[in-house]
Amino acid sequence: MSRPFPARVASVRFTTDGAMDGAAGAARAAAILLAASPRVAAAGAGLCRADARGWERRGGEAALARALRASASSAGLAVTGVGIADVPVAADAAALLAAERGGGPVIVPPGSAARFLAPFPLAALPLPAHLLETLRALGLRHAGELAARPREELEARFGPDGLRAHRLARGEDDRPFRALCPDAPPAAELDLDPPADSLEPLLFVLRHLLARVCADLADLGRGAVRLDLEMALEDGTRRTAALVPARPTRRDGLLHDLGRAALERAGDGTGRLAAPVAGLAVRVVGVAALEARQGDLFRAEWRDPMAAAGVLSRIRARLGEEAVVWPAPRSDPRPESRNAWRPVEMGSGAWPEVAPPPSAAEDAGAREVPGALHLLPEPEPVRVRTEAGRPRELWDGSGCREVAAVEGPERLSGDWWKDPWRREYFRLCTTGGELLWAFREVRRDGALRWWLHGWWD
Amino acid sequence: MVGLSGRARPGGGSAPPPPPFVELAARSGFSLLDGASNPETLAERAAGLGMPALALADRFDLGGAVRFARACEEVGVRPITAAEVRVALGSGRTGGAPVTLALALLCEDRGGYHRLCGLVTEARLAGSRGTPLLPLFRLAGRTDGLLCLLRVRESGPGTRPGTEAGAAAARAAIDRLRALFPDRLWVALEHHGLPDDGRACASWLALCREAGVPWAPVNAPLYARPSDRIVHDVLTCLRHGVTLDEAGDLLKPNAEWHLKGAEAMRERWCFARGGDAFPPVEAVVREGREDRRSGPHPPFGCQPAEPVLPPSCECDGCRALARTAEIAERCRFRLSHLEPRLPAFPVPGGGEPQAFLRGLVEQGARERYGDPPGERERRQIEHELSVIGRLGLADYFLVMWDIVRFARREGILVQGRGSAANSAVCYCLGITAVDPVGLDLLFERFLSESRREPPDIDLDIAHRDRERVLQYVYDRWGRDHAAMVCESITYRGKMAVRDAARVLGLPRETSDRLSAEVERGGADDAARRLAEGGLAAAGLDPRAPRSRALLRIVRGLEDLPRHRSIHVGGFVLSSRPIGELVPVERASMPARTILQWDKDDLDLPGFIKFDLLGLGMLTMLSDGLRLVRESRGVALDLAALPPDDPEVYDMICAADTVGVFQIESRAQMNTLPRVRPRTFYDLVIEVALIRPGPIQGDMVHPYLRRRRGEEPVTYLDPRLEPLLARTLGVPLFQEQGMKVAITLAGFTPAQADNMRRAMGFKRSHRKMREVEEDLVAGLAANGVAPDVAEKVLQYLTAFANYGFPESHSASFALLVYASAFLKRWYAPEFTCALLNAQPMGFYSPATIVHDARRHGVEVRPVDLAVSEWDCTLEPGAGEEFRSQPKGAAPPPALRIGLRFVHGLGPRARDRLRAAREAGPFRSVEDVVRRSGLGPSDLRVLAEAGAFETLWPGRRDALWEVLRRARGDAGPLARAVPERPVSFPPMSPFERVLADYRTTGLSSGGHPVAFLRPELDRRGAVRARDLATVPAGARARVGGLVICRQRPGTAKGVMFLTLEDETGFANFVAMPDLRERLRNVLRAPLLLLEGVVEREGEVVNVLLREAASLDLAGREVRGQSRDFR
Repeated sequence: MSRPFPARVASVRFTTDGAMDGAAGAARAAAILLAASPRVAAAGAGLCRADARGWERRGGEAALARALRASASSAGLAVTGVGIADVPVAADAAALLAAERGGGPVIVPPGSAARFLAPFPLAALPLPAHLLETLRALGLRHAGELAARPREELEARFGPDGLRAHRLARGEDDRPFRALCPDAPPAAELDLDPPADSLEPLLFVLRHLLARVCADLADLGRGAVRLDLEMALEDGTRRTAALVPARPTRRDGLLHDLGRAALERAGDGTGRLAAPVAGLAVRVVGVAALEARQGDLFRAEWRDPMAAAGVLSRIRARLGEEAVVWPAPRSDPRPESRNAWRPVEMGSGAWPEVAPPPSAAEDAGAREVPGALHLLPEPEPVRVRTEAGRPRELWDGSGCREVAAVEGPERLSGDWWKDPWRREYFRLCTTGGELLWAFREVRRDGALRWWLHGWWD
Repeated sequence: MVGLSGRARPGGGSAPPPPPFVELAARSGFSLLDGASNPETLAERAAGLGMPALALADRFDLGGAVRFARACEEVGVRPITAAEVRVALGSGRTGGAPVTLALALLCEDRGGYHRLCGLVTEARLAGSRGTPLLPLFRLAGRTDGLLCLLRVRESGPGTRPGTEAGAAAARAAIDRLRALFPDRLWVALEHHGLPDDGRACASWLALCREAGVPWAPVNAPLYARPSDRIVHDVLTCLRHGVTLDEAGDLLKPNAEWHLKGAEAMRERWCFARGGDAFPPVEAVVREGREDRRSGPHPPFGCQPAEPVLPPSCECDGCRALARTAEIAERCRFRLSHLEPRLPAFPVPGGGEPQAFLRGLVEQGARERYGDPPGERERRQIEHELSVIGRLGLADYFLVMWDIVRFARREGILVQGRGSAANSAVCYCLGITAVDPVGLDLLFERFLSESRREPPDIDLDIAHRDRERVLQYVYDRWGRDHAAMVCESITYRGKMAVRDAARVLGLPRETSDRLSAEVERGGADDAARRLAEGGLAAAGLDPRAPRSRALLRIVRGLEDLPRHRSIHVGGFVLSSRPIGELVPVERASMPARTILQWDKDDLDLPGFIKFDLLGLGMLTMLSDGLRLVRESRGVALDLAALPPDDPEVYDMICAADTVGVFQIESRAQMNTLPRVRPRTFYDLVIEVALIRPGPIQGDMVHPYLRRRRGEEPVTYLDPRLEPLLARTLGVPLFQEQGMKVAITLAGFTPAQADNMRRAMGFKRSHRKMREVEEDLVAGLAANGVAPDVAEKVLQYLTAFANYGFPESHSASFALLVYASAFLKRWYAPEFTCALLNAQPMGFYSPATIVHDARRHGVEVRPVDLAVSEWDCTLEPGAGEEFRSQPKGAAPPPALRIGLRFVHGLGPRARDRLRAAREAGPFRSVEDVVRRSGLGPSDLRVLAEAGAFETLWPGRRDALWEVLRRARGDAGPLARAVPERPVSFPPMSPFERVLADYRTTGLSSGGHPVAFLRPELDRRGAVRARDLATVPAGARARVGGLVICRQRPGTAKGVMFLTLEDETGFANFVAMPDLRERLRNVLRAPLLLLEGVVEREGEVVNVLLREAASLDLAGREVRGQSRDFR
């Protein structure tokens, strides 16, 4: 959530090697600093900021600086400088100065940000590169020189960028503070006294809890990606079930259906619970923006996508998390790898789409790799006796089969740049009338291995 | 038909020979990004497989045909000229995409070849870039002399007979093709060992039987050997813009697309049992069950990997294999059968070209040699005219004369160079400017009756006007009869590394690091460099599979064609439509068409090439002469410059040659004080001396020692004295090599020229051997002692074609003298013209400007009130220019043009020109309003100081420009009266830095001058003062790096040149030190330390240590010219 910046802010600069590199590294660093301050924000590569208000009662701002360093140090984060000021731009500059000095924190007294910033080079201000370059070309070197320019003149030349630069140079910084830890996600709970031992009262309570949670979600302008339904049993234990809609939603009816399915799985099938429930809680554990895609009246898939999503969610809730899958064709010459079933990622908002693997008309011949009529899910190892390189007998778990006729070899190979493989396939006709599809491959150690891969009826 | 002898098999006995097989549909790298082997590799492999012939059928491309023919000739394989074309049969059944067929068209005779070229040309010119498609009806009446193989695998999916509809479409296709190619159509079947190949072939076989059309097996190789499959996979990825991990089914699923010999093809195709070779799976099931008790024979025909074949086989498959050889036998056409002819020159009045040529030459001779010409000149002209007449080359000379005449008429400076300068006829026609009779040049180096090859005339044209000349040639002879030669750009090291990294999915940063690790050079060298530490230095684990794959890919890409571009100057004319002789396609430049052949490909069929080359120096000289005339009222004529001016030679001897043609490089500057040229012929020698031939032949130092009198002038054989006296007994020119062979080995002039060609850049080992045998025999027969003969042989082979012909050196020496003359006497004009001709030459504009300032030229900065787009001259401040000609007007000052302001492109140029034509700029507001330039252009102009006259003070001007450039704020904007402001003025150092940042040069001083206190503190000497440092002492110099060079002949040594405010300092970095300091040496500003070496006036410093310098955090964009 974005809020205006607090009146006092601390900036923390840290080294950016390894895992602390870039914006992601800053986010990791912010999470570490949460141990010292409840409101921390990542502010770009190598920089975090923390709310510095209220430390006058906890040892002063120097104590905050120590706490930040201590929390960083305990997590292996190398802090180079800490600065504290009224506004981020001054705090950032103070942290820079502290890093250069290599000593303790630099604390800018309240109300003196502009004076503090004046001798800093323009590069200390967060300005666009082209503006910085032009200001330098004008001979402006320090923030104070920029601050001394009339505001209107800068606006006349650089527009809003110029105004913003001028404000920053004067220590006026109203950039929002995006705290790493947002307000707690919506949740609701209720104790049941006496504990419920049947499904009916629980469903009543659940509807009430979900209505509250969905109202909170509406306030946030978000939908739930996942909710945890927690039951406190009379014996003191807790059971949790995940409610995962197919798309982010705040429709309490749909969520209630998912909750009902979860509770029914916890019951004995007759409407009674396996153990009395003394409390019920619903907690949103993931939120996302609701989808607002433009529909098309004349396309079938737009008739009621939410209804379809609801069905999928219910199926998944009843039959298990991997019950809903979609076919994913793969572009791999190995017959067993050309298709796969992939579970639908519920709650991601992404709708399964079956995209053909990349191919080109001119290379169409390369795609024609039909297998046997029946393909084993995975090739099974067999032993084969050959004559002149041709299979003559084949042993597997069911015994020995004599090969009456052979066609082949057919060759497939690939992945030479990472994990090379090569196969030679044969179609085998056994004296018993079976028609088998087998291949041999040379392993990296030079050993030759045979595999049965399919058969014809 | 050519048979193959049987091969002994392990276990004794001799297997029966397989049926002869000829591959009829091979593809090379000229199927761009699809074929993975060069034609030579395919030919070599075919020979290794014992294949009697091979057809190269690249897709809509004959670019590899000549190389293929040559390579086949070398290895004893008959080349079949062919190409694959794709035709559209009409719309699909549902009105969708048309059904397409892939046809391999083989040339049976010369007519067929012309038709094939015509078809490829038509397709290439009609379609957009990429793979074109011809409507099938366009083949009607154009198939005589062509054999057609229908490549069913490559044809569109609509014609696959696996389904009823596909079978109907296939039958229709065969019917239509049979009508076009009666008795010349075969269905080409391919089996690459894929699971579905058997079924597809079986259905096609059934269709062929039903339709009564013969079939032939092909493997349609995309590469020579199975191991080349990786290269093809990589090219496939590049073609589709994907990585290997993403490519999936785009890649061929096995490595079976290699060139296979008769035995491998027999194993695949012999139907030992007879009957259908590829029954469908259902039939396999049925037959398998029926036959399972009938005996050991396989129930279907696709044969085992190591079958026991019957001793002789008459099966359908083996007959089809033999059929390929029969088809090959029908293809009798060879590229040498072509007889390209020039268009007949339209002689005024309709006379004979030879007579017209004679008239022109006689008239030119009177102008060049006086009226009448001397006996020697007359005899030479007669000799040349008679040779030209016998060879039927009058038209050729007239075409070139016509081009030169056009250029002169248009005021475009042109000059012939190369071996044409050996011809008195060319001299008399005004094509060349060197008198070959006076210089005793060898005509046979240019034209020889016995060689039966066309001569080669290179015409240099002022590069700015070259396009006008090219378009004149197109217009004069018609676009159907004229085209430019292409240049095949092949994979080199850096390009291979980048593409390999791309397909392996490595991040861009890794690719940049890998590329930085390799030097310019071949892909093999790059792979070696990466293997020897480059991978690790770039942050990759050398043992990782992808790292190993990277090396394999880079090696595999070596020398493969990457794309095609326009050759720098080669033009071909033809009486027949040129597209019927060689396929023509569009070039990337508008209004240009190019042949699919490289310049080296033209010799085999005997094309005559006109090289119309752009030369920046001619533009410079043309402008320089104009400027001298305009600024000083002195009319100079290039052909009549004061000869042998001692002050010009003094300047040259002092190596004061920045900007002078050909002798400005560091190597030349190092040589000049030793050679000390004092005559025109000395310049001819100087031009030829610093060349790979003399360097590799170890002739430079002997010459220099003899020149300085440090060793006596001797000759290997007394008979060589008349030939080599002018070069002090050291052979430096190609003609001298030829004359040595003539004199000592008894060669005829034509034989001598053959020797030169055999030992040329692209050497043929066989021809080399033959020539060497003849030389040895000739030397012995002429009584040359064996030890002398060996030395003669040694230097002839070393430099036969790596050196310049004397005539070429003489042509260039004229330009050397002319440019040196301008520099010496008219430095402002020289500098102005040189800057306007950029980019050209060895030095950056910044260095040229600093050099001019050191020579007293007043250089004024760019200024919108007075500057034009180009640099101009203005009345000077009145200071006396050193050694000014008596009576000449005071020297002008040089005003830098707006063209050097960074970021101003052609659009800004046009706007500024238009605005200035309407009147000079009066104010900042006037510039903003009339120029129409955008804020970024205006800002950079202000930073460059271009408003100095209109608004003094760069910063104040920038402040004002920013306000004006933002424009009207609108009716609601608050009108704010502004106080006049004044920013602190820039310091001189700041101005120089701003100059470099915005224009790349400065008229206000050298940036290193501002570092002098720091450099003094660190013990650095000025570049100029190096001359006073004793040899063997250590010295430090700080400066901008203006040149890094690693010539191929220097065995890894790097030459660095630093520039400071006083001049240049030359450093030499030995390979080990270069390697150790490689990262430091990349910096633009360096402090170098080393041991001073002195040879006469030449000072070099042997590098010992290096450190990078900076300008207190301020950037100078140094412009080093880095050369391999």
